[in-house]
Amino acid sequence: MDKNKLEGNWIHSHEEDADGNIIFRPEGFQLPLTRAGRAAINLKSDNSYVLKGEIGRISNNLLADDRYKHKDGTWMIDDDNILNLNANEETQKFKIISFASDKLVVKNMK
Amino acid sequence: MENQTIPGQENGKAPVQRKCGTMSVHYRLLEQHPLFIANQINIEKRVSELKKFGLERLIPVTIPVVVHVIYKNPSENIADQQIFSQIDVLNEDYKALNVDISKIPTIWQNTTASAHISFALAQKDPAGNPTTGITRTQTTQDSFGDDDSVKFAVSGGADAWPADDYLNIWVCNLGGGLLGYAQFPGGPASTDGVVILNKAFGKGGITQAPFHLGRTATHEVGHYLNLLHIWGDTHQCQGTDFVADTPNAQNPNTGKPVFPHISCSNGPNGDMFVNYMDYVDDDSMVMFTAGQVTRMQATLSGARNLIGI
Ligand SMILES: [Zn+2]
Repeated sequence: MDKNKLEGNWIHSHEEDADGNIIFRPEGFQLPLTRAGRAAINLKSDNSYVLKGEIGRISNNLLADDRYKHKDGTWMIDDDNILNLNANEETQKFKIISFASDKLVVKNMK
Repeated sequence: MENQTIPGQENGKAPVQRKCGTMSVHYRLLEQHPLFIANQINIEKRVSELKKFGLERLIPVTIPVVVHVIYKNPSENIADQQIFSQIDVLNEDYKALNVDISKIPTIWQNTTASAHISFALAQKDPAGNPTTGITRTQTTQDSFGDDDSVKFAVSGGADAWPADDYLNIWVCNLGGGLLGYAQFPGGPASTDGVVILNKAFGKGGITQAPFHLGRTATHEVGHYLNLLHIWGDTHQCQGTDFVADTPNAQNPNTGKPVFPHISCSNGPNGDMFVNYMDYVDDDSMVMFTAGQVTRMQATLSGARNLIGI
């Protein structure tokens, strides 16, 4: 798929998760308030990314003082439409199930 | 939660026993907050002193508050009334005068305690002039993150008032889905205090359910007074909040839990999700425990011993 289209800040809409699918909405999409925070992955055009919070575990987004956990690294999409997030020699892989400008659906391949 | 303890049995016991499993929390806190360890050692010493001499030694404290309202759009320039309502909530919650304290399950009704802490908008500014205790700053920033930029005029926010004398509360359009964040005692004075989303501050005005009852500030001020989350900030039942009478819990609770919610073999009563230091909705958090009060009072006689004097 076209990598450029995936660039941007994607916010975890955990209320919509189902059947192992993880749902993201773009920056600016109206999502309900939540005390546990929302993971967000900012996929940048230079192939770097910043992850706030943790994808998949909503209760693990924040630090002890309620600020976000931060992780950064590099990202790529391989030929099988798998989003690879590389940080500290570790790679997280997410299968891209569907994509539209207002909704990104992935599955954790771990 | 504290490992291997039973609610109500903390009195007279040696201060908190740290176990290996808690170290990961320490490292994380150390990373984000370099003064945390030294601060903790000091506070644990105070906690053990207070346990020895008893809470009756304590004098009620009134903490002067300055609320810095940072707004771009006029609607974010919240009304005085919304601010007053937040001060009222803090005064109720920190003296166990909140009406909804009746929601505590019977089993914990004797575990709750007043922190004997009052809050009042400051009447004198740092120069000694009369003040409302409210500052209002228009900004060009659409929103602020958790990077403390709201705490400096140079980055579109408002500078802190001296942290020894005031509890600084910044109220703004906090972005990224956060309701608020705090700074533990012992950190830099220029960033000391709490930041609260304007829609989750106080009651009425522009507040939004289910965070419309002022409990976000109650929770964040708990961190300001050195309370940790009751699940201990790990997810393997090994974390601790260094408080014995909050049951060990695995994860935060969210929403409006139904009693009991069991985790970490903490049955039959389960997680104390009615505690202000969990992640539930505003109408579901209603109490501090006696152990948490001891910890806050230790902070007020230690790391924050100048505030309110
Ligand atoms: Zn918190």
